[in-house]
Amino acid sequence: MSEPQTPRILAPHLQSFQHRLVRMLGKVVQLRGDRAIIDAGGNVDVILNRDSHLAVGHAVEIIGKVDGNLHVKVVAATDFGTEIDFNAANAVVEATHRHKEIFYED
Amino acid sequence: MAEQAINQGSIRSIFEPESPFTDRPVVQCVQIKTMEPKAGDALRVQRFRVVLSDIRNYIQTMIATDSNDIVTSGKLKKGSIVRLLKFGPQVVKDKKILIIMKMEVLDEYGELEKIGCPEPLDLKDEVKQQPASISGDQFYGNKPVQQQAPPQQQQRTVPVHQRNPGTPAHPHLYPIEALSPYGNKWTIRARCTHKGEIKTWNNAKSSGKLFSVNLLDDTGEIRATGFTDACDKFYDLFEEGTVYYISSCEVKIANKKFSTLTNDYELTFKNDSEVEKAEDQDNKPQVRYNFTKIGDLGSIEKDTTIDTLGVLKNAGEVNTIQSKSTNKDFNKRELLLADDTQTSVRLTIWGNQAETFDVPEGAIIAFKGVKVSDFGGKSLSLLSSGSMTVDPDIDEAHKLRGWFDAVGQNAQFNTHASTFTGGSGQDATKTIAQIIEEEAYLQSDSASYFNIKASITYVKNTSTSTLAYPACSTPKCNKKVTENEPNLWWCEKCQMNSPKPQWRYILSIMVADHTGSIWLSSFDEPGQMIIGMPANDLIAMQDQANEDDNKNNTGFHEAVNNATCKMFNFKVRAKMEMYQDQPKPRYQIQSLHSLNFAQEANKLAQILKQYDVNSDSLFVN
Repeated sequence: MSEPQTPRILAPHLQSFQHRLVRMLGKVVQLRGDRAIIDAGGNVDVILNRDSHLAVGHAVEIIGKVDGNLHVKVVAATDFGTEIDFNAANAVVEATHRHKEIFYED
Repeated sequence: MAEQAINQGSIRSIFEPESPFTDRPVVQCVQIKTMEPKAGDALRVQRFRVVLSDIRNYIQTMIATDSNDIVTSGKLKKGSIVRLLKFGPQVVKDKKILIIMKMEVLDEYGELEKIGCPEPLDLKDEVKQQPASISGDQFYGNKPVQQQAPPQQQQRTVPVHQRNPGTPAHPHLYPIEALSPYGNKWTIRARCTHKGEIKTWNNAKSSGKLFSVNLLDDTGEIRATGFTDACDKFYDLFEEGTVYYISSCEVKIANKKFSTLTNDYELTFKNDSEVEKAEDQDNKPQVRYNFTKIGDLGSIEKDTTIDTLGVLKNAGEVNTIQSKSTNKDFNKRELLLADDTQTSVRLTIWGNQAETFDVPEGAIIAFKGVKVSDFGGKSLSLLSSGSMTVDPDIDEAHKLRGWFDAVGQNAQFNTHASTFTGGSGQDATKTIAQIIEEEAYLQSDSASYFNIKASITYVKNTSTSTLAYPACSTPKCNKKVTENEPNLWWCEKCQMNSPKPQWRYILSIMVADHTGSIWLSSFDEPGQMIIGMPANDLIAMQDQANEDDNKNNTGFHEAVNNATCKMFNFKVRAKMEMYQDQPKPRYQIQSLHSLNFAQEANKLAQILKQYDVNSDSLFVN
């Protein structure tokens, strides 16, 4: 694949995916200048880039790199609106990790 | 050396006012004695009395019956070194003893002779001097006649919490969790979470009246019942929400039929039971819930008792129905509850609660003691022993309120109430492979119904007759009309001509899921959803295409192709029919529904979880 792998994770997995490019779907909790907090199975600090426009209360999918103190530096962000069932979304993430051979290389 | 392993002085410190210095003291077992059950004891279980020493002191202890196996298996022997994991100090008739709920034998030390010369633990001043009439055996375990004990000291063990300070008038406070038929004099401090009404019974054996209450403290809940005389004595005393000190009740094994609480035991008030309202009503134990999400109800067995939390979307009117068996009138009210799993469910409340229900829509309500039934899909019913709290001050309620304010107001809810004929039981969702397998079992006289989630792969469109038929324009008359003369369509039923018929779909579509594919037939309503336009339009397009001789016919073919790859939940009726002397299974679409992706995703997540039930997994969902 020409694109790098971006395994889907939630907040508890940040620790094991340090310094890797990951994908997270979470709800925007707070915006603060160039940073934001999203709730993806737990609160995650994200460092936004110039193009990301997040709306509080919306679901957003962040592709970014996890840094040393478990913050995510956003590379791309997509707004997913408000009609997201986070239970289902989180279940997807849990399922991909349980069967990770199918979804990403470790 | 074992001597070093033993925490000397730990036994004394267990009884000190400040926390004992070791969490899980290591001591030596110097004697084991068996106590046979007394005649008339409901539970004929033997109990073990063990003497433990920490080299400085020794103390009598009783092993909780749950841990009896440590002795019966021979693991614990005289001389063994043990580590106490869960225990509670008591003072019985001026003697200090320990009740051991859990211990482990450190068999690396083997069995040793008694180490040192331990002395019996003295009574110190922390024991409030009570008038004690000591009679009979001094040992804990026998039903003591009359004894008082010092207030319960700081405990290390988990279930015994520290917020129940004993008072001089109420010594020996027990946690509800530790109540057992072997109890001697105990007192519990608990909140009455529910008081049932006085019920009378009349049967061949006896007649009388009873009432029961649910009691809660920080360690657990237990049900207490009073019969006849005790009923009269205590009924007025109890109020829901008030904290009481209760003692001297009979502790029996719980009759699960009548109680929804999880305690193995229940209490019965006797004539000498004592119930006293607590002066300080603070520190009230909070009602504890174990919520089940409404979305998960689909997987819960009927007749299970659960707790649930939801937003009140709608409250029906009070209805009165008559019970067929007793001819008594019942009041009931149906509520529609929803939560953040995007699912809603009907919940019925009864009696007084139904009558006096006055909660605004949008309020968060917590229900404890709700029975799941499969009446009309999945629905809930509040039990008489259950309770309802509006806008409770607990985390889940706040979370739900937050969700509702943000999203829930406008969200679409899937309902657990099924909307098909009969309303009892739910159609199974099958895979196409299953359907094909079960073809042989289809009968020609009765139809079976099931749901499938599948995608349309092909719409048969070889000729007009495979797509739609001309139907009478009279509303509701769907009879096929014949074109006897150009532009004059005759309907037999209505006995009239009309210039233009109403085309109605009769589609043959092929659908597929991940296990196989199958032909379904569809009439007009599902047809419209599949093609996305009324049949009249499609037929017009087809005529156009035919005229243009398939040259500029992109319209028609496009329309037909657009129907493919759509995924729906189909409700299918299957029947064996004879076609040219051959039995053929026919599958007809009764109705179809668009997919609610969130709900489907949750369903799939549940199926995935099943794969992991047997495997050892670190991920807990």
